Amino acid sequence: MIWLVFILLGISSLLFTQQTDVLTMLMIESAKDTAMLSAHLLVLMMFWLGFMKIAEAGDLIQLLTRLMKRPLMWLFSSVDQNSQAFSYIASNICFNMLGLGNAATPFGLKAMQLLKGNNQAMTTLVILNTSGLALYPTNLIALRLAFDSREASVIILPVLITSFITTVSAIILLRVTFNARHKWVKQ
Amino acid sequence: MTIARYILPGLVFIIVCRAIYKKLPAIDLFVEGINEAITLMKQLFPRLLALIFSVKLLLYSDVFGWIKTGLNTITHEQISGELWPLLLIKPLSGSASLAITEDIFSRFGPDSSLGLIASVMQGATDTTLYIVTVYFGAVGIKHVKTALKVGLMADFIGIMTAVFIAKWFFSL
Repeated sequence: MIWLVFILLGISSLLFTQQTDVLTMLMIESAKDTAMLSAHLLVLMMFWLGFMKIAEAGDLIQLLTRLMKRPLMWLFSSVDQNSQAFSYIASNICFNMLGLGNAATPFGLKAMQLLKGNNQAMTTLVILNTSGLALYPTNLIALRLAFDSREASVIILPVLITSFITTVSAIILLRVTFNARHKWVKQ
Repeated sequence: MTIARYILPGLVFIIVCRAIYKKLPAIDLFVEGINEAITLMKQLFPRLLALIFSVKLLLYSDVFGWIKTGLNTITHEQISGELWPLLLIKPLSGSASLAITEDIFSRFGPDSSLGLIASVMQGATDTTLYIVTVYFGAVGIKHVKTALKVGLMADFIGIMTAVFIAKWFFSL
């Protein structure tokens, strides 16, 4: 639905401003961008899921999962306690907090596959990723330095406060949404 | 922060050491992981293409320009006009919002009040639409409504919080 609205708005504006010939150009460009992005993502996924398999067989992932079990079980209460998904979720969240979003994505995707069918858990994981709780915004500070910022790291604390507030309110919103639906179904 | 640079290589080092210690069939396991990645990508690619095309079309058309002008008149520039595009595009496209932030940095400087607010906005939320598509695309599920709704609401809260926190923190 949203997708159709986007296309409709875009197309009507192109028609309105009589730029009908750019459509093909945009198609080619978006295919190019997608290919680039996918190639990048595929490389990351292949290597990190590969290493993850080895780490799993070596009982390393289980260690990490045990450390994060309590908060995870609270957030993902609908997931079976012994589910493999927990190890992928734990890795995803760890990498995200370190500001290494690229390394986090493969684990998130794998977790989604294992959570398939459990809508609440899938949505929770996605929301945790979109609200972007990072302890150290690596890329942002690099960008500020690139533009000759005198105090590139002053933004760490406000970013941390803001993303904390965002994450907490996202979790609350999510709980409210799912609880409301639950009650509605019961009635 | 130099420690951050050592995390990933360090992790691989630990994994490899552990594999040698436990005499694991490492190559087989690694290949298994790669195969899983390829399966995931197959499901992901078409959805990603559809999303990127629609966002590109929307950004190319001047829809955001009209919205910006409209919002400026409504809000009487309480939130500076330069920030509106960033605010609107942030949930849609990571590269586009990065470009806007760079533009603000180069015109006003990263330490100016606009630069600081833009930094906090850029750092505090992520590209919701992209993440929702990629994550749900990987499992081929179409029921993304709740995630999208909550994600965009959280973005709105996040961006507003970013402006207020930045103004308060740097006493602008």
